[in-house]
Amino acid sequence: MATSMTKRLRRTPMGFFGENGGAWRQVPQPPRYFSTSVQVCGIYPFGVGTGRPVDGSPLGRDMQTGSAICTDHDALYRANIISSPSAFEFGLNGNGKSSTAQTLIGGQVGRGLTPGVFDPIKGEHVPWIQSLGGTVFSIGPRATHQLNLMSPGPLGIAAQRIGGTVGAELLLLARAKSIDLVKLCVRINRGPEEPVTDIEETAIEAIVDTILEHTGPTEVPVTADLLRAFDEVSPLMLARTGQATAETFHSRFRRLGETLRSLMTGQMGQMLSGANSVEFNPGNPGGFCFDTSSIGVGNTKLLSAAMLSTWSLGMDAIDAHWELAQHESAKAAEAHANGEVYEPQVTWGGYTTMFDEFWYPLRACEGMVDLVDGLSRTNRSVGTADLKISHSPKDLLSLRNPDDREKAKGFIERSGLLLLMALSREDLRELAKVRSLTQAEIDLVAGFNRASSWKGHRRIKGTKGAPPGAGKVLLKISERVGIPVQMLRTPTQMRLHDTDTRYQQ
Amino acid sequence: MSDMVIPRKRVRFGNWLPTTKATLGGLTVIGWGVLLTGVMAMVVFLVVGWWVTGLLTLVLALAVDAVFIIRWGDPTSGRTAAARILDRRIDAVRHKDGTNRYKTGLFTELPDEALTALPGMLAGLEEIPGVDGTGEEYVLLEHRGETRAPLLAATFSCDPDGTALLPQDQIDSQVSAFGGWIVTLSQDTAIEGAVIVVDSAQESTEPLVAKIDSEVSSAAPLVAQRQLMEGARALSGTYADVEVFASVVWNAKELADDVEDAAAEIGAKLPQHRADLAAAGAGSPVLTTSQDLARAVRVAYRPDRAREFGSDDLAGLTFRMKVTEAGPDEFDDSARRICYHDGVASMTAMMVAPPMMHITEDYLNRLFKPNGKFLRKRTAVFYRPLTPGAAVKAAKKLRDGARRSATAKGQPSEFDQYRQELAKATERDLVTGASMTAFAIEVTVTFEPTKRGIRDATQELKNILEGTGISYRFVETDTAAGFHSTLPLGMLPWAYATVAQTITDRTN
Repeated sequence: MATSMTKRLRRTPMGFFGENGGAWRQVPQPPRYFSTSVQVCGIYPFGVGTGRPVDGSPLGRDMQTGSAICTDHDALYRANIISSPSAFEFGLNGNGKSSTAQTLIGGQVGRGLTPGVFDPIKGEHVPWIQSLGGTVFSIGPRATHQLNLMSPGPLGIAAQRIGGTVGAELLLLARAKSIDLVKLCVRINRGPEEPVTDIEETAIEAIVDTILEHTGPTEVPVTADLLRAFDEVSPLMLARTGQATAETFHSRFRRLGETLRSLMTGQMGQMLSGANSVEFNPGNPGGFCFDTSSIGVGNTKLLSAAMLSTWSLGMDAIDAHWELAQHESAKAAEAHANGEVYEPQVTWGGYTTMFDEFWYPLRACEGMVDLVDGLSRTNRSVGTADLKISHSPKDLLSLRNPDDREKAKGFIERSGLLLLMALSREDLRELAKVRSLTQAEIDLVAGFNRASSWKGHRRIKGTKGAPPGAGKVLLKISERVGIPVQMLRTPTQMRLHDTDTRYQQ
Repeated sequence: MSDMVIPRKRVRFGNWLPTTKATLGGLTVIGWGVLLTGVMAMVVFLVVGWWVTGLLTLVLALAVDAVFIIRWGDPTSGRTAAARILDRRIDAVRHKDGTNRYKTGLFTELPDEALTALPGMLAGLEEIPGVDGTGEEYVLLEHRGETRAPLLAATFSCDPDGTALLPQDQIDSQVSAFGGWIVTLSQDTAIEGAVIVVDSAQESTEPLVAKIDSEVSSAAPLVAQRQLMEGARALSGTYADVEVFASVVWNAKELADDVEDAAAEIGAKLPQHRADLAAAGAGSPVLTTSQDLARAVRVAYRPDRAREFGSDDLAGLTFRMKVTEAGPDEFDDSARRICYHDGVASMTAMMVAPPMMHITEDYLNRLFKPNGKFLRKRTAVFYRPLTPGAAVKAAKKLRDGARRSATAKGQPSEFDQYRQELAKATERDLVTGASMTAFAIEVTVTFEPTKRGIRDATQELKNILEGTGISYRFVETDTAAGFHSTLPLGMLPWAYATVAQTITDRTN
């Protein structure tokens, strides 16, 4: 029967009476019980955590509820959940710290962030960055690339492309960076026992300025020019250092000359003055990776110089990328105003940096803590999400220098997101002094690596194995209960990242 | 050093006392009064020789007790025969009238201004919008009644972290703060009640995958794009969607002369409730808007709408539906126990007795957490606070009732003694500053409307309730009203109780 179009149902306090009106005549009354507030609160409705984060990189599943978890420090920062887009990952060897980092960063890169990877010791991120089309700089005395302390670097390239006032400002910044790098290398080469004096720093500035003055617009100075400039003293050098003649200059700065000469010899010399120096092309969405794994971990001076230089270069690359993107965006806006269309050649989607084996440079390199401290305080302003990876919180909390210890503690305090893989109870207790961890969280993380039994199945040749704690991570943000996650690995990732090759043979 | 931690003694809870009157031999004082009156009248009639009248009087007294006084089944939570008869009768009338079906939309006979209204007594729900101190919009829902003052409900959406990884002392502190919030309900005499609804589901990750796909940047390297998309597909098939709503309901007449002034009064009280709930472990409670509630209601009617709404969010489409216009496309509660709505089915069970043992705060987590066997599950805990004065009187009554039950028998049972102890403990709690509240629990589960769906859901719901030690019964008639009681709309069942229910079930 066709439904009548006449509106005959009428609203009453019980609903609409009539066919299909749905009126109720009564509401079922559940039996009630009396209790006092101190008893009825035991029926606690907030015991079950609500929805898990589903914004950000796909990470895996919640080990408690089996729910999907998607998050990362960039997404959390953008959602105003954490105050700085930074993360710190801790975990004992063999539990998949690097894989976890790649899962996290990979999601961010897929969303348009550019990766910047600092891979000091193992070189395990190189194939991944290569597959992304990023630039890999393998640095070392006999590696593919060498360092050029005098190169204007990415800032210089950006300055050339942009020109004008901004270009001039970038060149000034590039000059300052060169001076800083030379000072750092001189300091590293001498070691902590022999500091660089203030007048020596003035001399270094004068030497660098002399070199830059005598370099043509199409020429690129090299590290060896430092020594040449020292030998052929310029009036600028004399004026700045208050010396009358080249002889008095050489006499006054004899020790600096020796240090510069020493920098140019041996493995350090090979690394700093090779022909194939690191030259950036800012704006590559595949990002970059600095690989210093060819330098032996025992060669502290060399590795320190390499790492300090690459971190500085990396940050310059990000700044240069930003300036170029701004410049291109301005060009597009100008073209639009003139009724034309201009497709920007460089766009900005933000950067995500990864500092793997973070413990090493902090322990090996004097001055590294300050450099990173500065970075971790400003990573919002340079548009960088950063992830630091280390074995144990103790790596940071037991540095020799008390000032360094305090600053390193600050890295953990300021990290918006903590990723805790299998760690010892002692490590976790140390960490709990800096960031709140509940006993249940400590027990959980300490138990990640607990084998289910002494007996296991022997691996078949060619297959990958995994310890009990592999891929288990506790995600933690400030003052909130952590979320334990079993990380996922995608086929692409597994193809590109394998640190277990020798055991598979 | 040993890692062994000596476990602390857990706090236990469990002094629950029935709100029904104490009985002796199944009869309340009134029941005994009726019986004795009947017996005495019979004696008088027998003496004057009216044999038949005397016997009829006794039969009448026995019948009144049997129908209106005796709770058949459990002595404290069973139901009177009158209540059962009334349910059946009303069900039959609704069936005959065709009001156990509800259809909305243009081609129905609903008035033009109510084409998608909520069904039944919620059809008269009114919205009173407001703006809180931080500039965020919210809505108060006005529940009107024929015979009572209007009630105004404010609902907070909460996001608790859960207690799984919290230290016990922090959990204890949160639970204690939750008790503190319950005390505040008693302190505000205008509060008619409160209800906390935990709405949970194991959602499919399909919309999540679509969301991640839509975030892939075309400027990103191809390998990174592939890795992100592969990652999305490697996620577990479901993710937990748990929403906790806390509604506080005020009696408008107790606050002001008109509803607008009462709403303004409530606006001033909300920040304190928000802070109290936050301290109780509710996360960062946010006052809900009409759209928030409409969304929850529409998802309750058909759970896969959550996916549709997620896609709309992605497309930047703003959800604009008002809660008062969020009625179901169709709702059919003509069958017993199961109601059918928008292509799915639901059933509601109510607690008739809480767990008899003393429980820890995590004991009922199973009742609240998502369960993959259901499309959606809502657990509602209702609180009807007593003012401090009423609490003292109620406690005294409970103690007297328990004592009477125990002393009337020559040999009081363990149960009688336990009840006396509970009554004493309740008085002790009140003396130390606690408040008293009546509470009730209802659970609604939604599932596929197939034979198997119904069987599995019924079995799982029974498992949950029996596993948590809760005695229960299913809502067999008026299932539409039962379903809507557990929505986060601040619908307090006792506020909607009819006079007939009050008499037959002695609910108030």
